[in-house]
Amino acid sequence: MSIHSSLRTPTGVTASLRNVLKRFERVRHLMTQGAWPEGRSVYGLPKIKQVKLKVRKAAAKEKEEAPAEAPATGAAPSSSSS
Amino acid sequence: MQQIDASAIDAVGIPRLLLMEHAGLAVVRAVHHLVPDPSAPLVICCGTGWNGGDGLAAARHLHERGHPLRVAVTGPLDRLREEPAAYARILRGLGVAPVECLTAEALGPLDEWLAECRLVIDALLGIGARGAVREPAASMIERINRSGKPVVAVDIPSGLDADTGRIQGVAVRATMTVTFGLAKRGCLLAEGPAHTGTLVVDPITIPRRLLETAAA
Repeated sequence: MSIHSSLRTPTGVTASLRNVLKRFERVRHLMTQGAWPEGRSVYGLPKIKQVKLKVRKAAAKEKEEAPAEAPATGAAPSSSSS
Repeated sequence: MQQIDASAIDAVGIPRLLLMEHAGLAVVRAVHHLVPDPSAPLVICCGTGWNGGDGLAAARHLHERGHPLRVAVTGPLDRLREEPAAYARILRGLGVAPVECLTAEALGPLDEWLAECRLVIDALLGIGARGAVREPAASMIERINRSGKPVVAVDIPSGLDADTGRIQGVAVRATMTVTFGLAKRGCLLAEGPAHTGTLVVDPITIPRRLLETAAA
């Protein structure tokens, strides 16, 4: 059985960016945040929002800027020789 | 959870045997999910308490489905409480006599059974167990873990504290845990998630209002 390409997700990404967490994952998250009082019920847990950080675009911009600078520095010696 | 059981039995009037029957059926569904082949041999390790009774109830239905069974009990059969004893009698009547394993030394055949089976059911210790796991259950748990076979734990993996999720000396590493009524705290805290495997919550006909009150 095939799956439509739009429904496919890269492996690994889904696991880290899931918004629906398992109950023990939510408990663990609250514990790491220090928001887990001893003896708290494991029911009625607050919702946990997963924030997506878009780092890729910033990295691409830096790459675009870098090659533009390189020819400018390299061109200076040739112009002085002529 | 024990209070919910008590309310369902005493206040609502649901016989414990009926709850045990549904617990057994819930375990059978989990086994069927993991091992659909009804000719697959199974090993069922039972304690002498209510948890063991749930395991014996599951054994009855699994026998009816055609699974070759080995049933081990960690105590004398004549000292089982009313409901587990009823299931032990039924099993004897069906020709699947539970085997008493009273000491760690008496567990000799268990290794062979575990080597031959396709799946193990852990019904040794339930939510009422307190303190370090004693023999012969401790040795049995070690052998179950060593076997590498898929394990379905009844209510909570044996050896795991139901309130804190801490291991009481040794604990079963389950592939799937079928818990009754509500998820136990111990399955979600500390070492609990690593030992629980996939958690299945089955209401076993406990009235919803009791469960909702307890979960609130």
